[in-house]
Amino acid sequence: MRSTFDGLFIAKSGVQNARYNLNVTGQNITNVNSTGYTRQRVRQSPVPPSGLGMLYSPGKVLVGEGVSTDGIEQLRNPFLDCQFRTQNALCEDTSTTLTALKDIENTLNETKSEGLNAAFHDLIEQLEGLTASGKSTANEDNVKEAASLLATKFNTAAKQLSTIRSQQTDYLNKYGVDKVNDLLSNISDLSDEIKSAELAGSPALELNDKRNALIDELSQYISINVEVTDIHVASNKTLTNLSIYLADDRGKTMTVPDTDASGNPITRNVTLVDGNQRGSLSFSQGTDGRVAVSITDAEKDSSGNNFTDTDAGGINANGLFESGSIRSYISLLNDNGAYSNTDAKGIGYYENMLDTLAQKLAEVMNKDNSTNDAGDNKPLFTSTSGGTADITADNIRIAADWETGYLVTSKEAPNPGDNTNASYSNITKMISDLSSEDYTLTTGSTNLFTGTLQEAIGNVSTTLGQEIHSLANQNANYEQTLNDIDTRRDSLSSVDINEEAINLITYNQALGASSRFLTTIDECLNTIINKMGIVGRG
Amino acid sequence: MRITMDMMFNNYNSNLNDSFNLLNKTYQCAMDYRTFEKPSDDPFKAAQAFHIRRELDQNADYQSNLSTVKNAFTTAESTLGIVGNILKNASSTDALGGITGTKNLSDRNTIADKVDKMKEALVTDLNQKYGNQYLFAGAASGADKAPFSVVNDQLYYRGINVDTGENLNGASTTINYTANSEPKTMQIDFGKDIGKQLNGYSIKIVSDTTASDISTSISGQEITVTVTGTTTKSDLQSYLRDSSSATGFGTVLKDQGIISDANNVNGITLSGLPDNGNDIVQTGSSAEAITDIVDLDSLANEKVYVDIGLGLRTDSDGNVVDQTAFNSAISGLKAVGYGMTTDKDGNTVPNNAYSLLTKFTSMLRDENLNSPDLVEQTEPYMKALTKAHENIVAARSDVGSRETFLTNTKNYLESVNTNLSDRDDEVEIVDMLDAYTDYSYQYYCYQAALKVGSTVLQSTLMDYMS
Repeated sequence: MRSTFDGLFIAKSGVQNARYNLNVTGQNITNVNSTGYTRQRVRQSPVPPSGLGMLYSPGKVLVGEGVSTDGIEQLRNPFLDCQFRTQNALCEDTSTTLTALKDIENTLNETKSEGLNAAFHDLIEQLEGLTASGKSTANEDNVKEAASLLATKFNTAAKQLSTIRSQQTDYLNKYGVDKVNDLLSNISDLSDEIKSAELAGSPALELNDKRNALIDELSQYISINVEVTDIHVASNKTLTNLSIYLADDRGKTMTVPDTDASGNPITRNVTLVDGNQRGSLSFSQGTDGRVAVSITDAEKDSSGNNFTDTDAGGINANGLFESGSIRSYISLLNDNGAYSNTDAKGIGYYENMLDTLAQKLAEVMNKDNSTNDAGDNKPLFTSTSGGTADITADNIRIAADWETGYLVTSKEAPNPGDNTNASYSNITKMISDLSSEDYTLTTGSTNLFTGTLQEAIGNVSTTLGQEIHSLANQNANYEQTLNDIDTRRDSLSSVDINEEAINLITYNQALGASSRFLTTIDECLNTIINKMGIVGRG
Repeated sequence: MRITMDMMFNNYNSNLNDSFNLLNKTYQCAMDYRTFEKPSDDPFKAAQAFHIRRELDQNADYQSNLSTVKNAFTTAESTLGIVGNILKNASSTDALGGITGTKNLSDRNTIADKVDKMKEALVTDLNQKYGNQYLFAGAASGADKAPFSVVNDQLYYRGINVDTGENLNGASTTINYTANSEPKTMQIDFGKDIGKQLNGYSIKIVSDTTASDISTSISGQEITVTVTGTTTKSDLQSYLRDSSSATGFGTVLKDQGIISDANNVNGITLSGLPDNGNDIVQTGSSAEAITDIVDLDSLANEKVYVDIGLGLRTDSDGNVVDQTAFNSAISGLKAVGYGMTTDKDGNTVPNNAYSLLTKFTSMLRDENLNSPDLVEQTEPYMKALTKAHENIVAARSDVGSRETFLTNTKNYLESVNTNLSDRDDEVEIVDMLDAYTDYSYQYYCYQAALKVGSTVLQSTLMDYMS
């Protein structure tokens, strides 16, 4: 037989448990709209009878001791989290590149407005007019104006690209690197708080949710791999330790070769957060405009210094970022397509293309207008310094010496005293060179484009259009996948009002039932205590 | 799979956004009927569209060039008609056709006066302008001076005597050389003063890198100028003008007795200076003749090329390939004749109409020539005058046939323009009906999505619990 008041304990455990459940249900319902909130559930188990398996165990008929509230748990799948973060990095990567390329496209778009193509055609048109209706001051001035306008359009396009470049550099610095450092420090601080809470005994579920939300945000910027390990601190106490490592674009932790303090080669992970230790990123820009992001590791080597992923130019660390918006910024700013032997075409590719076009235009026109053997004495286009060797899209302009009569209309030797050089054979050559002559544009030993100059100018915006088109498709696919993963996460973790409503009813009934059981036991005890053995009392 | 309200909200939100996005796109399309707003919307269509636009622009250029040239040709043709009439009147019985053995001197002077007036009219007509171009100046149509001028009753075409080809401005020579693997020429203009004296000589430029200074040597009819390896064109010009130092060009020529006054070399000029003054003088391939006679044939057959869409191309020397552009030069020299011919009777008569008329007036006014002899003497000239008239008629019909070619090309260009515009429309413009239908459909879908959402996303179990 068991103790008299045993039943009360059973009832009490039932009531308490029902109240826990109700409170947790209430917590879930009130947090239905909290970002990143994972629904919670009480973990309960039946209490086995006491004295089970002991020497003086009461015998065959043993009743359990009620319900034990073991704790509160979150319903969350860390594997889905991992998938989500990897996908988030990919998605944000393409999205960032897409935004920047669309900015560039607005600069170079000539579908509905007048741009380089139109100005180039104007120049040809004015030259054609010269041959048809004869030379006079008015007509040569028109050619000069058209040439000047073309040079100005080059300048404008170059300036706009330069603005986009400095904007993206700013974004990388302030909204990339600084934000990541912010997040890393917040995550490590939260880890500290969670550790204190766990030491005190509670699993700190809400803090965990907050930390997960921060890690999700971090995954936009760099691709990471999160590992949670258990640490045994006392006989039955384990704490969790969260580490964040830099990962490749599939979510697998990267290892880098390095040397330790004694110079021996080792391979290690790149650790961004380890418990309450954190690493950081730093941004630097070289004198040639190239940007570099370097990583200071959270781990320390054997002499107590943090590992740093830098080398002389800080360029090495750039190769470690495989997805995320930081990688996208770095690629936009540093990769110049064929001009830097990379596949990716960043802002620099389009800047360099414009430069190549400007140089080629100047080269062709200047040679056509020259009258000396070396082919360089009457340039039509020069740079701001007046020279022709350093022409770029930004500094091209018409020659300061271009006055009336500067344009060479004929290079045939005239009969002296006979104005044969009033023919326009040279102008016809200029027109032919600009509109129907094929040129091969090269950089170093790579051929960029073969075709007429007009086609080359049109090629820049169609290349860009194709890049954007295919990137937009890729981005849409990534987003779709991201949404799918998020939906599956929600399916597991988010709160469903209907479900909680049913829980309310269930636990309310359970509470009612336990309370009724309590009153029943109470009555039984009342009967036993007050109504038994009073025979013979008056 | 467990479905929560949150998931439904998110899904509904993103689907509604997509629908609204599509609505916006079709709306944009229905507003401006374009198939793409930016190249990235449809890169392949955009590439096609830009290509077609380039062709359209070029076509417009060709049409504009063509119409300018055509108008000039129309004017030229009618002017040549007038010139032909002048010659016809000159040969008529009113004028030279009326020369008989019985005309007296005053009648002959009357005829001569008439012919003088016709000569003036002839030159005025030949100097006609269209816009700011001289119609009959050949390749020099944009020049500031009129092509035909009369000096001492002799007609000159751009300073060249139409009968003999003699250059009014003196003798010159053209040196051919190669620089940067391209053929180039350099001209030395000796001017009037010594031009006549140097006629018949040839000049050669050789380069001697060991020489310290420029020098001249003469052997027979060949003048050799030796330059150092660093002589520039301006150096050479200064040397050629040098009549003071002992080795100066003028001094050497005077010493050899070729010219009478050494100072006359002061007017020698090299072509292209001062622009190419710093070019190093290259050796000429051979000795070039110094002459003041210009080849009238090549002068009369000059070409000026205008791009009217025949596929303009230049060959490796930079010259236009003949079939790929339109020759818009009309040579007045060719129309009115040049040079001299000897007929079968041994008479040398000028071909040029003006020179013929001048011959007539001088014979008419010659008091020592009696009328019967006059008739006999003017007979070969009358024949030549008839030939000159035929020449003008031929020139006029040549201009006419080139004008016909232009008209045909104009029609061709117009049809090309129509085709290209149609193609451009196909690529860039959306059919009005399609655009509006798409927009209406999208609008309907969007409305349906809104209605569905508002009913599904409302009730939960809470609403039914008491």
